[in-house]
Amino acid sequence: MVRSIPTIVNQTILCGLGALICLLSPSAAMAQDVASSPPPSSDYVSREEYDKLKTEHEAMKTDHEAMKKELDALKAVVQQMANGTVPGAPPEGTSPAASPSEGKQVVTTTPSQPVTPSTEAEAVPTETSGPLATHSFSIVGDAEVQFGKISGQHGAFMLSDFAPIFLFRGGDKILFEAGFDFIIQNNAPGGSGYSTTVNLSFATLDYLINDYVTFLGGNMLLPLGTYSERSAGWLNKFPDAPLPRSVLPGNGVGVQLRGGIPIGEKGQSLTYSAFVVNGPGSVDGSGNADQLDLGGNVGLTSNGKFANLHGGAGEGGRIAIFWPWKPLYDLEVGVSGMSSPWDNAGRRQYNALVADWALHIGPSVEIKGEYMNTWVGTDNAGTITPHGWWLQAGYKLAGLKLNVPYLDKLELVGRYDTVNDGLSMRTKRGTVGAVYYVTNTLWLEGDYEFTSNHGPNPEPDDSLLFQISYGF
Amino acid sequence: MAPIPSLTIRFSFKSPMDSDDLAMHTSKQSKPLLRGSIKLNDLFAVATISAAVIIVGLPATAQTPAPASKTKAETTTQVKAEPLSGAELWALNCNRCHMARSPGEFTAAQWQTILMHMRVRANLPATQAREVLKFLQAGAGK
Repeated sequence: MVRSIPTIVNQTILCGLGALICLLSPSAAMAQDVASSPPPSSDYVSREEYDKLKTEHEAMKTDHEAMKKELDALKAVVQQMANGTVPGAPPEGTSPAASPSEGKQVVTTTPSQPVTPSTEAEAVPTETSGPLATHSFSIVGDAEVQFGKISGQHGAFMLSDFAPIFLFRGGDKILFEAGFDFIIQNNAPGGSGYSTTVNLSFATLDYLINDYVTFLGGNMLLPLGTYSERSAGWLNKFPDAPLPRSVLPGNGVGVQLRGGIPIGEKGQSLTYSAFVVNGPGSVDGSGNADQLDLGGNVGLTSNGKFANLHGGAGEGGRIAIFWPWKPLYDLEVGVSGMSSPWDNAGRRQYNALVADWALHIGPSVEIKGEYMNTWVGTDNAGTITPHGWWLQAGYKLAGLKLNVPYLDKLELVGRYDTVNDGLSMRTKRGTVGAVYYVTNTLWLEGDYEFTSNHGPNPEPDDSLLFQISYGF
Repeated sequence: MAPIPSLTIRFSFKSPMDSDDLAMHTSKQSKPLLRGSIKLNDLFAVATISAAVIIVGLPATAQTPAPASKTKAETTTQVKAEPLSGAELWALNCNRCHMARSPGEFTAAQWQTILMHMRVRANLPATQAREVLKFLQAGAGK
């Protein structure tokens, strides 16, 4: 049935007016409430409630950001653990690494606590109820077993190195550390049996003066570049050292001040080392070019005399910046140098300048290297300039996300190194190989080295090397 | 220096007379009405209801904190960049030179000695070394 138009108009107008009256009435009442005080209705948010919610929201946002950052870092490490390139997860319930949430719990409960060495020891849960002992002795280090086949020679197994590091901590500020190398070698052709060689790689007494300065005294690894301080078998991805390290002294006897200064909230730091050591010596005491002895001036002569061979001192140091921009993405760049007399008369000078760099792009890519140049004053050849550089790169196949068990534990590595001894010998070498990570500290390394020598007494050429490296 | 992330507060208040609801309401009602011949009256009714809604909405809007009217400084809060945690510093610093060691590999006392060694060897800033130590000791083996 169709209604007439006037009827519809009237109904519509009445509906409209009715709605208007209904809506205006509460509006007027609410306007009065607003003028006096906020309404108690749960449909509205007061200023106080808003501020409270805002504060809570900001706190949650901050916590969320912190947890996200931490989770990203832990994810990367856990991924490496899954790939076997980092140790397996610790026993369940005991390690923050086993669970990001557990790690977060640990971290969030501790940062606000003032940290001092004494209280921090007491705060650590242990199996005993008392604080940790103030003195402690530990052994860490590495060992390598090697098989080598050099062009034109028989291949052979070698125990190349057993290198324990003894650490004795006396309280919160004193540490004595000593590193040894035990090496067995076949006796020279014509002899029988073998000999065991023990080298003292370093032995220093460290005193932590404050947060920014640490004193070292003794036989120390010299911070010329980074290789000498980071060359243990399970740190170096190649069985041997870069060639140009031969133009630099590896260690020296003396004193050193060093430390690190944080310069940002992302883990950035500025690091420095400054040392005074006896410096290089001369094999026969002369200043002839072929008599430079980079590691022989340890301060005590074989006839019992207590003397520096040349009476001078070698000074040097390194300054570097470490700049991570997100977890596992970082760049380290350093410059180091040294200057010292080296002949017994103290008239000839040895100077060295080294630039080093290391770049990590995610958990899979690492590129690093060093450039070094030295200036050596001599009696018979003027100033010679032994120099060289090396560059190496590694790529962990886990980065391809193939999820193939064995491939994910493999890292392809390559290195190019070259050295010029400043006299007549130049060597260039290219190395390709791979590292298989059985665990985070047990590696299998295999490399083939292409060597090109130029000079009167060239070294043996190409070689094939396999090495088992273990860090403990 | 990485830019400091900012947090913008967006306040959301759901009202029974929210504009979304209104738009839906009017569209549903207006379409069939427009087909008829009483367009003027329908428009009048819609206008009346709309006016009522606006009037009702004004007090509520006045009472509710209005993010749009707030200054940028008030609505935008800078989130302070938090220092990295011990776990993050552990992943960051240890992996620079070697594979990171799991916390459970050594006891808490051994970690204290080893971290002192690594602080010296790697020139770790003391504050970072302490945070890493706390992380490792928290998960240390027995």
